Amino acid sequence: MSQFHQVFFDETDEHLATMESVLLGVDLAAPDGEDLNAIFRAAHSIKGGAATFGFADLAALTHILENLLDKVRKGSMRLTADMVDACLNAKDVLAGMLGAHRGGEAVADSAISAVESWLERLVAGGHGEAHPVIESVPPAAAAAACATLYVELDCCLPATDYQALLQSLTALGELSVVQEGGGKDQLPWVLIFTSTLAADEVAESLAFSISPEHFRITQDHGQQDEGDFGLFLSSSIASPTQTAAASIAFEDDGFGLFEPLVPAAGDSAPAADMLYEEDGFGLFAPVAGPAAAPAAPAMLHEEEGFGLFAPLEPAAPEQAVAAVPAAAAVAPPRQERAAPAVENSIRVNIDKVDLLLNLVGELVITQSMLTQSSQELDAVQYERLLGGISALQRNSRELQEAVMSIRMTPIAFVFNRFPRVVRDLAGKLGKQIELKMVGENTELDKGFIEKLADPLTHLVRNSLDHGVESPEVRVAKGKSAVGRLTLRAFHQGSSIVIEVTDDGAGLNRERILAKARERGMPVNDALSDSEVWGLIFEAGFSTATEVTDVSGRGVGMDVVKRNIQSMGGRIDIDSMPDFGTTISIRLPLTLAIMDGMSVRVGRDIYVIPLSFVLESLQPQAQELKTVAGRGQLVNVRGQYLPIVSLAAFFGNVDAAAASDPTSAILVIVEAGGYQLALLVDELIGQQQFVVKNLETNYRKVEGMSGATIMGDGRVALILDISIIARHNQRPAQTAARQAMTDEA
Amino acid sequence: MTEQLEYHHGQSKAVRELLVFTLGQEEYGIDILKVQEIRGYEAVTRIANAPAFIKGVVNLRGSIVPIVDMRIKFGLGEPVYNAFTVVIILNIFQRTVGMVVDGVSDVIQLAEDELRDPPEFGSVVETTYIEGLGTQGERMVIIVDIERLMSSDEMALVDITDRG
Repeated sequence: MSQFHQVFFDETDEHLATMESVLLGVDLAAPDGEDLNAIFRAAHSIKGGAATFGFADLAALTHILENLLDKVRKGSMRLTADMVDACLNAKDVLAGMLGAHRGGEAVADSAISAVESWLERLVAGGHGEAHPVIESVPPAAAAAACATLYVELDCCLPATDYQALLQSLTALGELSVVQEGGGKDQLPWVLIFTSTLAADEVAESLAFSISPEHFRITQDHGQQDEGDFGLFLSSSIASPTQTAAASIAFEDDGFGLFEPLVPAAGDSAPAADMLYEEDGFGLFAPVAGPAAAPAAPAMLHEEEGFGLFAPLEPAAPEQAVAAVPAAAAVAPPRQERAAPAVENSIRVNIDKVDLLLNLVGELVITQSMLTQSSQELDAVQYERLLGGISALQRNSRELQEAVMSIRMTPIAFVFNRFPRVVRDLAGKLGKQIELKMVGENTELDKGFIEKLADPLTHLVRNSLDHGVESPEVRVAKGKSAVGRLTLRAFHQGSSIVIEVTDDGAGLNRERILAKARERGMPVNDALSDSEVWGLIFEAGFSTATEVTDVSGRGVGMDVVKRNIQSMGGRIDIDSMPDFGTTISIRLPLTLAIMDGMSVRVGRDIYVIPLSFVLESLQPQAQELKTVAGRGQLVNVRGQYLPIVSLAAFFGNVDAAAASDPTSAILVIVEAGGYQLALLVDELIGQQQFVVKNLETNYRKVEGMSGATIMGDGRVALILDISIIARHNQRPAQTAARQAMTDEA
Repeated sequence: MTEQLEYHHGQSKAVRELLVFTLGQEEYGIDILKVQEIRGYEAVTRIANAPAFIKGVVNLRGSIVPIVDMRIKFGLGEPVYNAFTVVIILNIFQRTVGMVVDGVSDVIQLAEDELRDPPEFGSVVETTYIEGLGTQGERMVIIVDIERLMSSDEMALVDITDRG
């Protein structure tokens, strides 16, 4: 059972996120029906899942939430701002509960009961107008009701452990085997399964072990063909006459109930929408098949009320027998229906994707090894071989791109939380904020998405708290009372840039410097703006005059910077007094593969990431200048750039270049707005490199960002240009700055 | 270590299996379960500013593996690299590390009563990394806790502070 918990957690996360984003976007004056349905569906799905997996606390709270949402959805209550707040609050508590089940901290009982009573108060506010039937019946009872399902499994599937499967079903409910599968006739397994689970839930459980086309699940819907019939069967002991009636009805048209609707619901979204307009409500009915939530209510709503109660009845044996062939008959259309109804995606463990990525990486290495060795072959004699190798190169590159794209996720996954964050914070701080998000569909590596959430939240909070002024101050400054916060994401070269821009007060240079002095940092007024801004990334640095619960404790910006750097990115600040601040985060699109230039220094080969390289040139003697007899500069079209000898940097004595730059090559690189010329012996070539982590088996090496395997199988180290640039900057800085960097 | 002890049939004495390698005149034994494979020495990629005994990194079927020359580290034997130079690939603390030694002599099984307490001195390896001495007749093998040695600060193989 617990192996499904993760799936439930993930799905619930998504549902909660949907709920939140829709709630935030909903127009109170004229709420869109589809929006309300979406919120309701999310709550309902969470409740269903929670009840199935035994998370009673989640189920109980979502149940109340659902009651409220159901009324709103049906128009028996008007949506109010208070309701939105209550729902958002409930969402937070739910997220907290979910976290607790995942092993996190438990949510305070007081918080839970507070939000529960809030919701109940709201529900009670609309009492009397709503359908009494629904009101009076605790849906929890429906969730706990038993449903009987007929399950048919194809036998003799390879790699399927039927006994384990049966055992896992037994754990979920009552299971009896009608027919054992296998044997020489290849009979399918036929099972009767009675549990509180709906058919789609059982199907989902089964789908973990068996692919969907190899099993069929049918609901015992003998009693479902008459509207109010099921209502009176809740005692779950059917009298013989009732059973008989049910059986007859079942044979007549009980089944037909499903069939015509099946294609209708699955065919297209409009069909589902159409049905929605009526009061959909077989919400608690265990609808057969892995139907998605949108289809489920639509299918059953015609019989008002029945779905709610019908599944109470355990099947009579004769019905079971009758239903088995029927189950097989209905199966194919159901699968067709399920496919378009669910989102066209699969959930795959990230480890599998990473493994795939690794294997593709190995393939690319092997391919470039082949390409390299084939270059020595005679083009005429080995025409076919060479043709094959170039096809392989093309294919492996495409394969690589395809595999990489699996990991790419729109940044909207991170951005989506901010409307809520901004709304809450603005309320708390008494500020008016308009949030604008640009480029939410920009894709980046999934690994970054998770790691970006915290730093970005921190930056947004900072902007709201310190950046944007209160409305009065803004008006006094001649700005609009409403502050603007813009989140922007876009691709630039092989990086993705994420900007957090506010039109607030900007960073205060004097205050930062004063604070730095107060903390005993050796600073002086000669520091450039960007150096001053850099100070706020020092640990424990906060210029907020008072500590609020929003920010100002001075933990954060240093963590933000560390997080971004650990992702191989960098963070820059741009600020103008009274115009605002832009903080930009620059991340590589992916960490796994990069374009690079390989260079030779002495006997060693190094790789320079291409994103840092501006150009390379062979210097003339007259272009070289020395400064104070020590540092060397090169004149590149009027600009004097410092020369850094990689041989000297790495203590490589055997590099020829160390002595005479004119016989060597200068590679001009740029990092952090700072250009320098790297002195190398030779350029070898430009190609894609699979980045390997040095820290997996070794440790971090100063000036190296990783390693890669060259075409000949040897290891080459990848230079970390920003570190090298910073090293070079250091001696040029004031002694004060130097002392501070060392201290940090 | 107890979980790695093996029990022989008909014999109640615990037996440890050790891979024995030589450094100069001395024989060292390490837990054979920590050994992934034994390879010849191949050209390494040097790492700038690393201690001399860290020869560099090699490509071991797609992973980047550091190579440590124990002969340089302990100043024993001749650090020559030829067709007979042996690298023991170790699998320790979820990492793979290569270790150059003078030679691999054999695999021995050591009974409980052949184990002696570590000496107070008398080895180039610091005594904290020595688990004990194994004696078989005239032969004496110094048993090294290779995992502890390799993860020690002085080997400089692991970041001393493993902060994110």
